Amino acid sequence: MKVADIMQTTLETIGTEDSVADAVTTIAEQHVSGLPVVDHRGHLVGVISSTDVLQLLSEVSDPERRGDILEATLVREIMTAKPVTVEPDADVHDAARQMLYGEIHRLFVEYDGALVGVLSQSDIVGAVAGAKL
Amino acid sequence: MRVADIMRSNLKTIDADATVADAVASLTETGVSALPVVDRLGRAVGICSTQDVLAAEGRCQGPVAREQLFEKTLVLEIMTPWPTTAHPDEDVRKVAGRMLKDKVQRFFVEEQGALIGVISQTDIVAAVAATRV
Repeated sequence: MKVADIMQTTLETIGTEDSVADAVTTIAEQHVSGLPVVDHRGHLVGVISSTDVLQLLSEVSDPERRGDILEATLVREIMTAKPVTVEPDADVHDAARQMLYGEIHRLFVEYDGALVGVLSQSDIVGAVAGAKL
Repeated sequence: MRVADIMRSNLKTIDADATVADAVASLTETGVSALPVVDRLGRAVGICSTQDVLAAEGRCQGPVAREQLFEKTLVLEIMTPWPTTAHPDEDVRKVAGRMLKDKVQRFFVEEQGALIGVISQTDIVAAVAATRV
């Protein structure tokens, strides 16, 4: 089975210059654990996850500052740059290995330099549940 | 394949009356995305995930409320109360389907009322990577 068979093609993205508070809102609304970060041309440049946000919050020792740190920080400051990508025709078992070795929950799917989808752990779990793997 | 074959049994927990700041520190220190919540008698009463923290964060109106959330709010108030569990003898494919239906990342594994482990979507992806599923 190929990545393209089970990847999601509807993607919510966030901009590098958006605030972390905006990212938190989108993450909470979309019930996702992370968002692809795109530059002004729409190219994938990073990923911001709920773990990145918690890491930022945990590094603030002053409780008063913790209140506005999310508005004051830009997505590009805490995102993980150059996220791991996979091609649509890659084998799902290989993609699963990439996720494990990289300790990541999702792989972005790029074709000819364009972001075309995302493969999450849930997509693989879904394939297991449907006995497709 | 059964749940017991791929579940993890070394669990880090958090107290129900710990603060959200404590939970954030524990989540980031251990690098896990969720912690089982236990009461004063050590009984599991819920789960506190990074998603729960960010959802509570997203509901805060402004810096003061956010500070309040971290320093004054208890894990008990933002956790997801004791969720559906899995049995160690349950088939992994069946559990995979239940995880997606319930929209959760993990199930705690209980046997005769005792918490004995956790099975996450990552554990299922690992089984796929090893082509055990």
